[in-house]
Amino acid sequence: MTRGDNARQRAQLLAEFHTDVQKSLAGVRERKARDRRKAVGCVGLWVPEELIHAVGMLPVVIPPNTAPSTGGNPSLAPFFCAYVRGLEDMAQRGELDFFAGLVMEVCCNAYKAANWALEKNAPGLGPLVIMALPMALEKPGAKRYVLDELRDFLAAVEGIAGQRASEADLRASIRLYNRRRSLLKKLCDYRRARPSVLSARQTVEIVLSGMLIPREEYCDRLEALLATLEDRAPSVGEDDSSRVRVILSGSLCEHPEFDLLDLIDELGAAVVDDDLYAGSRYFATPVDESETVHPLEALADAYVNMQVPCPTRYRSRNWGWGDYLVEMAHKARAEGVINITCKFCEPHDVLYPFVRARLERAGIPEMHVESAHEAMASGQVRTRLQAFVEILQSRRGL
Amino acid sequence: MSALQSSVSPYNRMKSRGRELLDEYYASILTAKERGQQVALCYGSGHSEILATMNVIEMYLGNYAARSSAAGLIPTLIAECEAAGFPSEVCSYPHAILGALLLAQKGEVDRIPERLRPVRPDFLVFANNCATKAQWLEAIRHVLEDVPSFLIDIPYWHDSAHPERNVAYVEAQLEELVVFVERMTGRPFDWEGLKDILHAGQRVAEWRAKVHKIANRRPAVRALGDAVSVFGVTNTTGLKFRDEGMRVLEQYEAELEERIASGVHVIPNEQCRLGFRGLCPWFAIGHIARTLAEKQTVVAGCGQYSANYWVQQQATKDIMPNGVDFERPLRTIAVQAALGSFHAKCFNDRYQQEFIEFHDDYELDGFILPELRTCRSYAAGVRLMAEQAKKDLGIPSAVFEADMADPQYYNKGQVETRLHAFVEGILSSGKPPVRVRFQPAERQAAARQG
Repeated sequence: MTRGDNARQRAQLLAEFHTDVQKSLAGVRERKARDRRKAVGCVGLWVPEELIHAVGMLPVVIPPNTAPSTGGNPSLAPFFCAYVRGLEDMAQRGELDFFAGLVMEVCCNAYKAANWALEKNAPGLGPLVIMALPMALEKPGAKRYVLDELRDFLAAVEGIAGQRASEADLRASIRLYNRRRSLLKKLCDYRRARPSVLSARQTVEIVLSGMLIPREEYCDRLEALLATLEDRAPSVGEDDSSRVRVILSGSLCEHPEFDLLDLIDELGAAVVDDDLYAGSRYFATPVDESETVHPLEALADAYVNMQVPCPTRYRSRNWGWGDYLVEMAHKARAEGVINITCKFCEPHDVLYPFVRARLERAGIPEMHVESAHEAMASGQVRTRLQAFVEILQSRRGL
Repeated sequence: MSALQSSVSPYNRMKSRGRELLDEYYASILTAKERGQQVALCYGSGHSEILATMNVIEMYLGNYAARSSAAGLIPTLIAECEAAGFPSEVCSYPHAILGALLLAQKGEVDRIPERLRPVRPDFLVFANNCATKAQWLEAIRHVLEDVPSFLIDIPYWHDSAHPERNVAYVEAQLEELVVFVERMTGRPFDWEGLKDILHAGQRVAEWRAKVHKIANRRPAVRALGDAVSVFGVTNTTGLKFRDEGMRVLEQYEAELEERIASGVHVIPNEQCRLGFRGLCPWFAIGHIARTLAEKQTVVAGCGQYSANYWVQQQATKDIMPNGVDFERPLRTIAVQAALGSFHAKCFNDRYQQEFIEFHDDYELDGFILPELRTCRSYAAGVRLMAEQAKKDLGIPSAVFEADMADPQYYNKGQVETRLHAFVEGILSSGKPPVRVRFQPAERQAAARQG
């Protein structure tokens, strides 16, 4: 394949990822109408999508509501996070009715509220399956508890699907999801080395697409994209070294505003790594595929040994989310960290001051952006981000 | 004016006595170390009986916030937290102790009145019956470096979950907590002492059930202000499990009977009676009561402050039909912690039925439901509760913004206008409210089948 063919294919693949995200749930509905495969809406990072896939359904991570929050008759006060309010809005508008069911792992009080609101105020919704995994990952009984929840969850999704998953089905799904994880990690490795080749928005769109479309198709497409990147030399104007290297952290239940991602690129920064929900958090923890471990046990193990610190989970020693970011920054040679908190996200708000303090002790400059459902104060953010980039640029001379 | 509106009224002695007892208790925390007694900073449920058994004095985070709020100290404490990077929208309860600890760290503890100064605890015991409590434990651990800590992990109990699973998971952790407390105190656990503590707790639960029957009289002889003062005694383990605390409760019960016999009511010409649900805005109890009194209205049904409805809940009765099991004390505590706490439960029909049935006994004309700005756990069900009260009891609700500790989220003028308009709407209907007597779903179904 010539370099030109490579570029064309890459552009086409990136456009496909972009289109998936733009179409969002409308695209999922179109696909469902075509292939008649049941789709299940997933809410929460810890939903075991592999089990939904294993019973022949398409797991779809429900994206944030893009319409203005009105809610009609909202159950949730305005000081709940935009994601759950948006969820209720979408449910009341009937936009989630096409799902065969909705599954939710209740990780925080806002999700608890959403659970209640959906049960009461969205009569058109399919069955609502709730999981509640233990928060304290190191408790001796936690893994057993998780296993029991997984068994119940599997039985519930089998009921929605109208078919059972064999052990072989479970293993196949785990393998597929590990393949996706592995490919996305390769993408991250590539980005760390060549951050300017893909924009911040493109990288997030690639991850988001993987939350919407059939995973088999997604993996094939991602593999094809990686193949086009491997021999890519930077074009004129894509000098990696001129851009300051930053890490994005946070935005725990939804993707960062695309406007913010575009600004980061525009103002001369390059994202070299992240621990976003629409980023490495989504694929950080592999699941054991060995034949000696039952698939459910492998999923339970992966959960209690999760590889990313999550503020909705607890460990008896200080989690070290700040330590995690410091290590990430060193590995990626990042010059700064941009922490994105979603307004009214209490788990993040409570622990963010300690993350910031840790980065400060490590001498890593940090900037905080608070996102809200309504339009980002783009003028202010632009000014602040510009100043942040200039600070990082000036530090290079030190 | 009601005789109960005067703090020197002979019918109001126990409200003052309850407050005195709480003041004495919290003063004793400040001198605990001099007595060789250990102090645990606590939040959540499931730990109290175990700590009380081992004579560990409990500094309960929620009580600290309530007292700070009533004393007008919250703005100072929250300002300290904001300076440290916490937004004001996070839960104001832990904000209070965190602000106090930060001030103490900076050597500025003299900005806090002596009776509210924090003590560096010997250890921390939290339970995440509300999801954020685990995060707050982590936050406080960051501030209080090297203070040992223990979390009781209480998973959210949803309809499709198996209650035994939650109970077993919590019970196993209580066994670990016993080992932890033994290590902290350097003493073996007193299992017989735990049974005594459970007996004491049972006495309080029985007392609350008794008082529930007195308190729902019309006109009301007990209202929100009373209920929260006495609640403080029943919610403070250092008092609840002691004879001294029980005495105050019994004296309060006698006082209620005295009020009945003497015809002393909260509102002499009671026109309207309301129910309350949620955490009290501690800085505004008096304001709410006075605002309603202007319209001859009383808060008669005081939610969690007026009865031990948690223990009476069907969930705990289903799994422990014979009540407290003194031979399996940890399991008993685990049942209550895992299934009894509002925070940890699903707002399902069963929960709503229990709450509304409880208030049905009070023949309420409406509910006032503060939408607590920084407590998403309680705020979660407020609007749903309002809808359900209309549907199940045929009565309206007034939802208004408030907060349990932070006064910046409470506008006196707006609350007065809102509550007055609400009550006037009820009274101006010109006839007694058409209250649909609540019937649980099973009875409704049976009635339909005729």
